[in-house]
Amino acid sequence: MFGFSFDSWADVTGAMYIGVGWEGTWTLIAVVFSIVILALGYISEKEHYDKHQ
Amino acid sequence: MEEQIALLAANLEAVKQSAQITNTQFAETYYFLSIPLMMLIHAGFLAYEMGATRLKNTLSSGIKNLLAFAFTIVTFYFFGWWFYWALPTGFTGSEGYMAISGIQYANSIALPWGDSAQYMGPNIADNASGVFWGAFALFAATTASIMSGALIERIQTVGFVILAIILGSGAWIIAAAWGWHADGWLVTEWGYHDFGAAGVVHAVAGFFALGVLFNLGPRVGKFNEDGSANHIAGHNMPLTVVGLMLIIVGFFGFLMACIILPGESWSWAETGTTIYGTRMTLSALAFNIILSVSGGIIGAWVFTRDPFWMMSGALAGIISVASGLDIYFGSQVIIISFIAGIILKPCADYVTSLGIDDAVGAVTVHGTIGIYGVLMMGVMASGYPGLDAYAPEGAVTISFVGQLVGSVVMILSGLVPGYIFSWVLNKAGMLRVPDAVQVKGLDVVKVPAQAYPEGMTSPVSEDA
Repeated sequence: MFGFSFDSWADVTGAMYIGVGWEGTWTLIAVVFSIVILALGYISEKEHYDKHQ
Repeated sequence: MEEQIALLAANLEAVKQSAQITNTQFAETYYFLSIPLMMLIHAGFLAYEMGATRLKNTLSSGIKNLLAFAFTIVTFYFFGWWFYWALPTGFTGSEGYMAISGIQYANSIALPWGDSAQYMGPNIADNASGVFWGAFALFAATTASIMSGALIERIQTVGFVILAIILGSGAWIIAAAWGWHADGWLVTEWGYHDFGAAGVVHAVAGFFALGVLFNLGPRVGKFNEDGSANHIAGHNMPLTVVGLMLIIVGFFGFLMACIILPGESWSWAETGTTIYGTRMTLSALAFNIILSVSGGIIGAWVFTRDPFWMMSGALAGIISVASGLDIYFGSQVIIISFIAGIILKPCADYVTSLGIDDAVGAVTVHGTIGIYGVLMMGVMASGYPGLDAYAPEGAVTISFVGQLVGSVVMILSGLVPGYIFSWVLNKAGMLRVPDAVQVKGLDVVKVPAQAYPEGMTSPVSEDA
């Protein structure tokens, strides 16, 4: 998951980010994070509203 | 002699390579710098919206605005960018004439996984994708911020974020694929021309907000039992007015990013062009942006004498001529933006008379004036060629009918998803803040911070 596509900077010809070949996995984790954060945010917000009604 | 010629040829080639590197670095820097300039739009919306909010809701309005920006950017990375490249020819996802559209093309450049991921991150061979994506992501966030102001003081945060994602990474970018892309069906079949996005950004966002407002309802205390409306003043007019001016500054970044620079493999022509491949210059923007801001301010001043509406008039001025900033003559800009400033307040009052509580006039400034701008382009520019570089033979010209069709598409692209998704959220209990909480104030209920350390008062105007 932390792989890279070259051995020295002189060999770089294209993508040079960390995790080449694992982009889908990283993106999936980021998507799940986003959804979970939104869900937690909604729960917290609802609790605050319920407490003050 | 032959050696000298060979040396000269080698030197010439070296100079050409050096010039290309300079051009590429300039192009990358140009679009990169448009991004922080566009951030000023969001600094402006933040200040504007917080100032237009009552003291008791100041911070929650700020939080909502910040999250709209953040989630729109993140989701635009996940899937919004893909829509722009996949759907120009329509929901079939077929390839267009320019061969830079269609689902297959989008899959190859605009998804953060698989082979296309190389264009969605650091890549030494790609100086363009990131800066183009960044500019479009900021356009997307702008649509969410436009909607945000209309809904202040009574929309739930997470419900709002979901709507911001649908608008910023869905509704507007699909409309942009249709009307703001050289392969877009509105462009190739109807000659739709909307250089500065009066329709694809402003009108879509404004009408999306209207769709949401139908389901959200007004703030507690906005309307009386007899249907008459009460004015709900924000707590900080100076902050709001300065915020509006910051939005104007940010528009320079927004509009400079709408130019396709020359000299690169992705360029359209040997000059700067619009997104449609038609020729244009930054000088055109310099004339017309500044004139339209001034025209809008003056027009709004005529009837309102209110700095809020004067600065809203400045926004309306730009939006009213945005479709044709590339080709309008300065004096035409003055006239069109004057009128936009003049009609602004009556149009906003009409929306209020329908029982709709648009807290900052966003539906009017962006929706109504956006459509006015798109249609004025049809009136003024009928007969102009709609596409230039690489235009297919028989490409249609700009026309009033084409702009009218585009206007209807933009209205529906905003209104329909805005209404449907807010209706669903309303049914799920995720849309409207309970009335008791509205009365008490959102900040004290859900924000662990205080806007100001002590109470502030300001004398009420005798004209208020």
